[in-house]
Amino acid sequence: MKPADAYEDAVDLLDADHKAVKKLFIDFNAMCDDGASPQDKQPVVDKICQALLVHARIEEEIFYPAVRAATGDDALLEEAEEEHAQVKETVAQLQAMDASDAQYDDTVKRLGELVDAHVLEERERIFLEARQSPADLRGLADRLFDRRKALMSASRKKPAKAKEAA
Amino acid sequence: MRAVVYNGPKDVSVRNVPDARIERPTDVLVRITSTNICGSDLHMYEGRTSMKPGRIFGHENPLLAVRAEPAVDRIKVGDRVCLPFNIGCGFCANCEKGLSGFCLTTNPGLAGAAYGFAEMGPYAGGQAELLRVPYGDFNCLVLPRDSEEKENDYVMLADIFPTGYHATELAGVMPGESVVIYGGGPVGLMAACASMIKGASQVMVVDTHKDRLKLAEKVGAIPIDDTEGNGVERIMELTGGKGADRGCECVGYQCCGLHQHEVPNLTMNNLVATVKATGSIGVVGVFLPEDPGAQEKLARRGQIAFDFGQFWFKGQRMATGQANVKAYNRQLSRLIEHDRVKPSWIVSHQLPLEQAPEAYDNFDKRTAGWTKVILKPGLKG
Repeated sequence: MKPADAYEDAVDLLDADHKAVKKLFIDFNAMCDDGASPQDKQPVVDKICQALLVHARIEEEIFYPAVRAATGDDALLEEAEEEHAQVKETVAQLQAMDASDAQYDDTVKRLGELVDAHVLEERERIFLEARQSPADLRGLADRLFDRRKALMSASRKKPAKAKEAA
Repeated sequence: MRAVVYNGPKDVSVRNVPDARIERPTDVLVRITSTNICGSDLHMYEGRTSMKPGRIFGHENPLLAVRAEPAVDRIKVGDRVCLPFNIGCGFCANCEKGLSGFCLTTNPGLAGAAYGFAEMGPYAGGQAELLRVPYGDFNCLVLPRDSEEKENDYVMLADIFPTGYHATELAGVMPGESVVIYGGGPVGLMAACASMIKGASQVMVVDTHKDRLKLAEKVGAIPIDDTEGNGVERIMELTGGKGADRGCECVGYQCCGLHQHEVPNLTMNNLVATVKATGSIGVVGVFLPEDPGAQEKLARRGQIAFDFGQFWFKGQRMATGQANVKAYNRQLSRLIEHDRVKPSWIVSHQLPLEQAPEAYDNFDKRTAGWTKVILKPGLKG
């Protein structure tokens, strides 16, 4: 059995990402409550940003086009892509900030709220429609898994390079 | 159609909204004849969930089927049915095992869907004139033909009667055992009723509200008034210093200590203290993975300070989660049919749908005497 087979379908795989990043946001909020230092908070936020970018990308490259083709619901997917754009914009803001910036914690929290709203929308509408459509969600799970793996390892290498360049 | 719509924290109104409609060939459309207000509606009413304004409340509904789609075989137009608050598909791994409260199909990503409930899928609630029921054949319980006259009893099959029964199942209540139930609200009262049905020797209900304790007494339970905080001593005395065989948590994260301020770990730790060593605890009160609006730090991240050392030391067991209504509602319905139980004994108010805002306000404030409200969309104000 290959590792991707552990996921029943694309929805299970994508929602596993949602749950993992939700846990990181809860951890971050707890760290703020406990007065953690910027150095301690930074790695959690880096992880959040990386996870979100990879997740958004595999959805946009693989999942959304497949759902769009199977359901013909252009409006729904355009809305989702707009929400992704907002998330990515906020991630970019965070990546340009220092963890000790006055606005840092609030920006992370705002990102958390954007993600919560998008996840809810996706679960209640896109996932449900996708599951009820003829889209081959089981087959998509393999493609999503492989693409996620490739993007994750690429993004792990990238920050180091960025620093060298600076 | 008219419906109870959530506008924002502590603000609901009865408004005209588009009629509920059939969306899939497996749907049934039903006309609501009664619908309860539930304590868990209050979590949303108070603005403590991600519930979006504009959504319709209500998950405790018995109804009349008005339209059944071609892929529905069993349910006929005119059937009187009661719907579990859970929406199951009937064919996923959890539904197959009777765990329809954790259906994997109807709320992708999360396990478990419900009508008009935050984080439990996009389904509209039943505090309205019409309701769309997905997978109608699986979800509808057809009620006996005498159900009209006992409608206030059958409406309890949607949630609280099975939920109270579930608490006693999670706790493993057996004939002859003693049971302590924290919370004398509708669910706690149903857990008391279920414990009596199962032949418990001693059923103790702990609460601070006199009206609820009186109702507990009516089904043969021992009321424990914890207003002065000496409930624990009283239970230990009644059980000869050992504690009860089984315990049920029917309050949830919004439990209150003295002076009505929230102490989220109060009932859980009192259960550990008042259930005997090797005893077991069933938790149906709602606890949430996070509660961003909470005052206390732990509560914000969905944690409580739990007496785990004592729990371990006493070798206790615990089981949790929402009820799988379909696992019990058919049998419980028979008990009503044969007049073995009358769960409507807790009902304090029957109101037209239009009076929902007033009912929510009073129920939320725990106004004395407002123990359970049934809204009747057919009733004129």
